[in-house]
Amino acid sequence: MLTHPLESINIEASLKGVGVANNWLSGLLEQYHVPANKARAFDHCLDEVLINIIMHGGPEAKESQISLSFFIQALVNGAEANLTITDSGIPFNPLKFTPKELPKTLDEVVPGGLGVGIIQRMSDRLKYEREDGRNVLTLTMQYL
Amino acid sequence: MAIHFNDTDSIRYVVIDGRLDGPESDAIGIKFSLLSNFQGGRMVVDISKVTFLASLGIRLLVVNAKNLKAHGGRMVLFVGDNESVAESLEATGISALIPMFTNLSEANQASLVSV
Repeated sequence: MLTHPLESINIEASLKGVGVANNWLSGLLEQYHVPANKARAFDHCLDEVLINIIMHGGPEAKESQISLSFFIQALVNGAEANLTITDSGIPFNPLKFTPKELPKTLDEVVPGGLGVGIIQRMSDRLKYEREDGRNVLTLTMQYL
Repeated sequence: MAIHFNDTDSIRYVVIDGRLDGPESDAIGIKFSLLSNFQGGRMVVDISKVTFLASLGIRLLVVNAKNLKAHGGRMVLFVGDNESVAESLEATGISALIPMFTNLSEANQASLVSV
């Protein structure tokens, strides 16, 4: 099947880096004509993953760059877009994360923990591996 | 991303527009916190023009709604016809904790309910 060339970028693990990554991905999604609903989902998931790495990945995450790669693969029916995010932070498998129960009142709310649930809900497929001491997370969106 | 406010006799209106993603949530965090920190305040937060609401943006709303409540106040959200923002708040359960309205006059009334 036809696969578009792999696009990749390295960013610093900071809010500034998140901004760079968001702009990079937005350009690719437009360039490859990814449907608007899937582009929004990708955009959202990328922001959530990167913020999680920066906020919870520990010092190891902040001391090295985050690598992003993106490619589109044509399928018999439609296509799928894949975004792989590789970081050096604390091992974290979002597939094994169970979002906490929603509190019943505002007083019970402990901020945080929403991002992974959003990633799980918005992605069509998630794949996680720990390779060479790094978290390797691939998000896939499928479309016609 | 922009945040600005307008005070009437009884309600403080805080209007946020643009992307409320990680970096932008961080950028407006201090100003929003200052605007939410007043005794007995009634606040309508207009997010009807927000084009993207990430979890860090939701966190910002929650933290400041809690802060305002702790000071005897009340925050409500006005989303207008912004379906994507409303869906994000519903999917995360936040709309059940911070009242959310599509109609501004209903939001105004709800912000003035006794706490």
